[in-house]
Amino acid sequence: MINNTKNIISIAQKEFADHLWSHRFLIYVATFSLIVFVFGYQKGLDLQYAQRIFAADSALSGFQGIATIIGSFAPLIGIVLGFDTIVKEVKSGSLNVLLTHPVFRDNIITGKLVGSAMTLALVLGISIIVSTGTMLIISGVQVKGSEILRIGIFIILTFFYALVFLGFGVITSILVKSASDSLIYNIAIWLLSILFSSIVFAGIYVSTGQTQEESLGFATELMGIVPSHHYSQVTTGKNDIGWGGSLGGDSKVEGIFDTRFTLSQWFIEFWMNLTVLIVTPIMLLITAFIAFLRKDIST
Amino acid sequence: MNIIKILGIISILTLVTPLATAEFSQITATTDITGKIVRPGDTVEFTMTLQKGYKTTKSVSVKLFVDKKPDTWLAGFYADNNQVSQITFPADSTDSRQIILRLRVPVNTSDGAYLIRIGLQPFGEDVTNYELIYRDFAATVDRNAMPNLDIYSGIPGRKTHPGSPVKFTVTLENKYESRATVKLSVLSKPDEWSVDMLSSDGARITKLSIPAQSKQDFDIVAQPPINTSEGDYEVLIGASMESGSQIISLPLSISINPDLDPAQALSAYLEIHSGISGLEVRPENTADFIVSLKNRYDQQLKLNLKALDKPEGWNVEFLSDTDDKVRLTTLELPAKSEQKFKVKIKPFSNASDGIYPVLVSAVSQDDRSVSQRLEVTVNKGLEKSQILGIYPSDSEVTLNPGGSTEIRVTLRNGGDEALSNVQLEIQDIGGISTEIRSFGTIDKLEAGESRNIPVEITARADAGSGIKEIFMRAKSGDVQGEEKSIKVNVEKSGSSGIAGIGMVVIAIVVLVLIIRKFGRR
Repeated sequence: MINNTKNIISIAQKEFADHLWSHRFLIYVATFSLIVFVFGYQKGLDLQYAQRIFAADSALSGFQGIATIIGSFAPLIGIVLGFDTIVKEVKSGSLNVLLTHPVFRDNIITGKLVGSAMTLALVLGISIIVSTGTMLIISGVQVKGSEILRIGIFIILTFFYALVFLGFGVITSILVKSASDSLIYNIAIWLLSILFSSIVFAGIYVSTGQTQEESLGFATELMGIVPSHHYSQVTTGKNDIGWGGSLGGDSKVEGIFDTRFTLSQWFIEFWMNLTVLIVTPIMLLITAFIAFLRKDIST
Repeated sequence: MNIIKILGIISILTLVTPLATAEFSQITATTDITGKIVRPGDTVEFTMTLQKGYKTTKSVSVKLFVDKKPDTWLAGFYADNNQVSQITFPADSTDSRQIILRLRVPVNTSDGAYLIRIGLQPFGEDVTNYELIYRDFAATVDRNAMPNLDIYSGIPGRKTHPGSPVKFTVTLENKYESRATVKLSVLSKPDEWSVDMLSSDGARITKLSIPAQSKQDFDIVAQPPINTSEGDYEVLIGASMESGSQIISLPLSISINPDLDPAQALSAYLEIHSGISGLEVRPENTADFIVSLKNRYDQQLKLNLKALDKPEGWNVEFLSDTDDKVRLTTLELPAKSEQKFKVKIKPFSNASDGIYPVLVSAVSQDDRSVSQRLEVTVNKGLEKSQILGIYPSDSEVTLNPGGSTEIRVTLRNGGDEALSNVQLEIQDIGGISTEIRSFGTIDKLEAGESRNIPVEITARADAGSGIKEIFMRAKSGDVQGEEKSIKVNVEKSGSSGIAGIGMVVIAIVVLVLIIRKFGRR
């Protein structure tokens, strides 16, 4: 048991270090951080944006914009971290070499998942904290302790949301034969997730000839199957992140940053979405775990 | 032998007697008082009686001179108020003459006993004896001696009312044998009282110059404050010689009766005031004034509110300042308190343009009153926009970005007809948002009715620094109220900037530490 734990930690630490020094990963993280940073900077300067998009009175209204951006691009971090986790090891033959050591398959997959999750948490935490700090410096907004707490919860929510895509990435990297295929499948999943609401709405509206309201109602019911819907609900109160339009939202609480309501009221309103958002990545990671144990690792 | 002795004695007596007769003085000088106590600066007098010798039938004169006195002292002889140097007694006259030796003691004279010697030198056709007659007088200088003054009042105690002055006539008596200049002062008085010393012509005085052996009256006027409580009070008046330090005093007693002084005007106890005493309205509108009554008295006052003078056909109402539905006719104004009320003046509907005065009064139970003149200017050309008034509670607020505050905006229907669907419209500007907290539309605003609307002003989190102005206007159908503005000063919070820098720095430090700790491949 102790050896297993040591093995998992060693692999997790190595996976974490590999990610940190991976050029591909660094480029993406730098791009993502830059987007968030620039967006935070704009939040301090751009008056029109807040007036056009947000109606919240709280100083946290600016964070809803950040939530939209992070909600759109954070899944890519998960994908980047996970899409070639296993397939590259198989292709390079290092997995076989590794298994000649007293290390078991479950040690390997658990260590890789933990290492990737740690990297994911670090990147999200750092980028959100930096962008928040930037916005505070630029805007001079007064932030209370309760609002800092909400920002912390937002980071955790985003972590679970990105973890969903990490899970997809790891699963595809186990199932497919090449890293490029895995990347394509993951990008497709991400795009489907982002554009799902618009596609479904347009499909129903065009194919059935129903009214917009009827089509929207049906599309809203279907949106429960995509994680972006649940993430969008708990962070902004809207039905979707909204590349193709947010498709509204009937929630009276406008997400975690709606300071008109307490956190308890927020939890009561969104406990179902929260459950889905937490359980989904866990299930995907378990699936990845099982899939790896059953995988034929011969090249 | 014995006969020879007797004859010898007789002969001697015979020879001596005529000589003795020739030696009788032609002048006698008598005086009762030869020593007096004086104060430096005083004038002291000694009186002598001169009389011709009873055996002298011829005219006799006597020359008067001061033989000895302190160098700096002044001395002179006076008869019938004239300074004299010699006196002549006519022949066959036996009258005596009073001569006064008047001495002026210099102010800087030291305490002690001083000798003054005068001389009398008779001369005349019948005078054979030219010997000088001397008389000695003693003046003892004592700074602590009681001055020869007296101060008193025939009526040293009086009763009055708070705020009502009381007058005492005081007599100052100079017992000196010379004119005296006397300083007057108020030695003590109750706090906040004013005490004046007045001459008979009403002028304020500080000194009196009183002739010798005479007296002079002056007045003391003591004014108790309006809030003086019931009780006995004392004013102490002092008098002293101009050159001396000894003071004589007169206590004057004043009893305060808390009842209103029937002779005093009510304005002494009650103040009526209106911050705005003139308003311009259309004839169909009412003019509302806020009037305050301030009771400066230490007793509760019961007052009736009346319009003592108003144009014919006009209506004047007294209303509670907080509730227009409460009409006032009588006020019980507690001691030293202030109360506001609203005076609603409705002009005659056909009133022509002009200025109309209205006299509103608070009348006490004994029909004394205080009044405030209010002026209503009727102007038919007045803009209708002024019918719907808007009065923000603040004209300027200061906010941090993300901060908010609540102000109250009062909408008032200044017309004489009810307005329906009254709306408050607020023009938002960049960085500032406003929210009307209570309602969107007032269904009905009665004539003269006011309504308070809470408005929350929020500086957006991304609002830039500086002063911004938001404009608001009330609207009801085609009636638009005047536009008012509120300045919003947005000040960035320095603490959040520091917090932001701290977050960025901490994030970078944590990243570096994690990479160093776990980044080894």
